[in-house]
Amino acid sequence: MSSISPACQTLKDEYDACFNSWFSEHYLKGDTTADMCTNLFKKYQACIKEAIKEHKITLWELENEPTTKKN
Amino acid sequence: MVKTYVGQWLYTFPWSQVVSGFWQKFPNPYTGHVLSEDTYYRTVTEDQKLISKRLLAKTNKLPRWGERLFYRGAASTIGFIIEESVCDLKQKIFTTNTVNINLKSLMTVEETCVYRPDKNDESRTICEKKVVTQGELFGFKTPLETFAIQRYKKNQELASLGLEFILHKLYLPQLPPPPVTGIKTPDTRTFSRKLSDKAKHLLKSSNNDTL
Repeated sequence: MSSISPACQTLKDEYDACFNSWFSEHYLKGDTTADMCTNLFKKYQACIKEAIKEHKITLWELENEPTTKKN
Repeated sequence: MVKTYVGQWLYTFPWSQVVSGFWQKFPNPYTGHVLSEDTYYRTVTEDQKLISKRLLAKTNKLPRWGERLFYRGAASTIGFIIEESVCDLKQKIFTTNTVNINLKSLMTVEETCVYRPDKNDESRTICEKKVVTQGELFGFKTPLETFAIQRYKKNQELASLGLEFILHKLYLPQLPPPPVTGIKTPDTRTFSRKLSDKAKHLLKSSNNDTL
């Protein structure tokens, strides 16, 4: 599925693939530790943050990044 | 005043597969009006709940006069929606809440869906949906709400069919995919027919449709 910004597409695809794998093979089986995709998510999220600004959308979760964020 | 619609959908897939498929439901043949989907927030809580937030962009066709009034960049003809969800692994309850974050000067449409295993048959999942619409344009609130409910009724069926299609693709790939039948085109009409000059003036003089 397309990302809001073509610049983030590769990052999105990589993250989504990681997340889907983590969700079905770890999370649903009770292994809810969530470090597998953290790095990918951080890169993807940083890209999204820029893209969303262009559309003049403010999402507080992106403005105030919490210290612990997983997958 | 608000208008509410409540409905249900039964998926012939177990809960774990429905939730897994939920993340992968775009694109599908029923939801060509969804332009983009991005996860912008995600975390796992201490009690194993997965909280996710996604931003969706959908086409929102405006009549030509609307484009002149609303045009402030691309966002004016694109509807942005926030989808927040909580996956409760222990209880096997997956709850999603979606609401539009722009075009709120016209109306707000908020949908809540709760996915649970069917109590009588765990190989199936029941989705209970509720949508609440609130019109904002003075003098047109009720017709706007009615319009939004009717549009939602058509589109929620497409959304469910879309998820089913993806579930078949993911978990029953050996079978032919279900035929794409019924309503193929989402209802993207806007409330334009009844708007009088007075309403157009009100829209023009209302604050910027900021997000």
